[in-house]
Amino acid sequence: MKKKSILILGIMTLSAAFLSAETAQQIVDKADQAFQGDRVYSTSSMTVYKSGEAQPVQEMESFSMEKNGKTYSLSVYLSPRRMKGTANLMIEDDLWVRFSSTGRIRKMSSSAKKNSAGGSDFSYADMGDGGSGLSEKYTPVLTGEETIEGEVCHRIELNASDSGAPYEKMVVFVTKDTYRYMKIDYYESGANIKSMIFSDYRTVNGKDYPFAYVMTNHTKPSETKVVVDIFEVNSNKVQDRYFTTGYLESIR
Amino acid sequence: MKKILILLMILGLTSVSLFSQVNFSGSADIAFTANIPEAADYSSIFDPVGQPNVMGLKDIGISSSFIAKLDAGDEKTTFSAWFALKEYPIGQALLAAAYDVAEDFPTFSPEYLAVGDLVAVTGDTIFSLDLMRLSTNVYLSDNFSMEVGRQSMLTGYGYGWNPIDFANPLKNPTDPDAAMRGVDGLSFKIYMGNIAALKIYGILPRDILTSGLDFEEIKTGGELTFNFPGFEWKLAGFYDYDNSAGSDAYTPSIGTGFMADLFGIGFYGEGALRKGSRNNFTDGGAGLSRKSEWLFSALAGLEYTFGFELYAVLEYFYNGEGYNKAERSLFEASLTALGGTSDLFSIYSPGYFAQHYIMINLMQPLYDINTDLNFSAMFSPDSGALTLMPSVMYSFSANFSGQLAYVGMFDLYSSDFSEVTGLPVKHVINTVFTYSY
Repeated sequence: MKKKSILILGIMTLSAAFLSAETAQQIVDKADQAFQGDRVYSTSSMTVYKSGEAQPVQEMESFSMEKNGKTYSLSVYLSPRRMKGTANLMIEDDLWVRFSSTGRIRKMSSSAKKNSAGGSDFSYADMGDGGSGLSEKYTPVLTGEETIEGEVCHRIELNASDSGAPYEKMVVFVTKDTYRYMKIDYYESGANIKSMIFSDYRTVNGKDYPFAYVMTNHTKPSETKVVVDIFEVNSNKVQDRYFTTGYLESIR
Repeated sequence: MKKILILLMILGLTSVSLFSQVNFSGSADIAFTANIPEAADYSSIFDPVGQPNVMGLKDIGISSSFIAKLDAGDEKTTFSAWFALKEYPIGQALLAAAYDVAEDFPTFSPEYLAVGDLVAVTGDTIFSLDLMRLSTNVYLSDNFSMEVGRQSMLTGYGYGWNPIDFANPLKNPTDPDAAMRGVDGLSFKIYMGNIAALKIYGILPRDILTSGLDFEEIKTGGELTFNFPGFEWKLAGFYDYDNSAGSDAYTPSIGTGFMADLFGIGFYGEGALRKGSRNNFTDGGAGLSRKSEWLFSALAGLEYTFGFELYAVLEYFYNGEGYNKAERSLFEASLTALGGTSDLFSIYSPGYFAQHYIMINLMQPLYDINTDLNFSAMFSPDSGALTLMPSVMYSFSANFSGQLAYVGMFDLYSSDFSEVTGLPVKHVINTVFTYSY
């Protein structure tokens, strides 16, 4: 009798764990839908604050596309003048950079993706990944709930399941009623190295998308605020030919 | 007639773009250079007449340059015009040219004295306006584009050297990020999805607008690039009608290059075969001739970005057009016999004189204090030339920066003649202030 009880309890525990993992996947899948779009075009302004002091605003134009299971992204700096014309093209894990001073295109190793983009608290991977959703290279586990910015959220741990995952772990907070990402904590070597908080959600083409987000660095006194000016899903401004090194050469 | 057609084509293509979005940008530099001579008289083997400091090198040099970029574009077309206004110290060159090698120092000829007076009155520098780019790119379809005019054709994977870059002048490995003048040509690009891209181009003679050209004078090249996840591969070829017999910097060539990403490390290589050399070799006297056999050059390198933002590049370059020990000795003998003529000067360039080079480049951005640290070292194991180039750049604002750099050149093998041996100045401290607008 005791053995049976233990067996049933074990099966129930495993089933609950399985069901909760499945639920976690469903939650992040729903939250990811905001970031998934066939062709996304956006312009944004990024301000880095170092020890509370604002640095020159960086303006950027971004294109992203999902096609045949591959994620494509292109970011082009519009300002400041010193960086104008600098562009990053990412196709899955491959990265090419156009240097505005010479117009030269250089393919970079994937190690560069983890590093700061333009001195901000975002990495190249933060800026380029995400077209398939934040959880694409991670295994989600539901670990509870917390209130973030007044919203009750699911707390879900995303553990890296792919060698190409830029972080070993992320903890995401997704609102229970609207499935919006409210906060992401990024972990490296077991430590929470930075956190991103989303705000100013607006509905575009039936999807909720954050028009403002802040990345706070926990390893140094630095913070980066991004304000999205234009956001278009299934935009005709995004064309296949933009995601080629040939197009990088023609960027001005 | 041909000239008119070409002009019309350029005007027609550019006018389409000029009515779209137009951007004006660029940078202005002012540089202060401190030369630290080996000896007070600056005497060197490159003094054209063997007299102390006849080249007129000063302790401190000041120079300025101005780059203006006019860019326009819309969905299908882009137009670029880059102008570079630079100041050149012409006075010393005029004086050197006017010097009569037969005269007895310190007695100067009337011609030399007249040039000296002229330089004193008019100044010893001139400004030169160089057209770096003037091109229009048109997407004829999503998979097919055409670019006409003076354009950049930079290619390859190497940081300091690009053996498979057949269309451009040689890149300076001690300043590989410097903006380079484009080449005049017409190029077509065909994109086969994201898997492959084909570029075919023709390079036009520089005097096309004044004298036209014959069809056989067009030099042609092609480049086929294959993209795979984590791996890129290029095949390149170049055809030169005169088979290097002329005085230009082109030879028939074939080459291949690749870059592979393994565990986050970028491994890359380039290999090229050239039918003949682009530079002359000396016979120890006044004789200069190009090699005509096939010459092999290759590059191997790796690059990695560490978690603390340090970007590191390590490269080895085998220069098939470089001089071996015996050829360097002949070169030295020719210098002694002829003096530093311009032909010999052009050969005596850092990173291309010997046959073997190793380079390391480290760049550490310090974003918190708006500073970039850079260190490059280039060593030639066969000639013993070592060049060290540490620099620090500070951004005063988003558009204004200052760079302090030291260039030190060392001749490690005293028994061998290297690209450092004959230089009158081997240590230079350079400060450059740049405003971007």
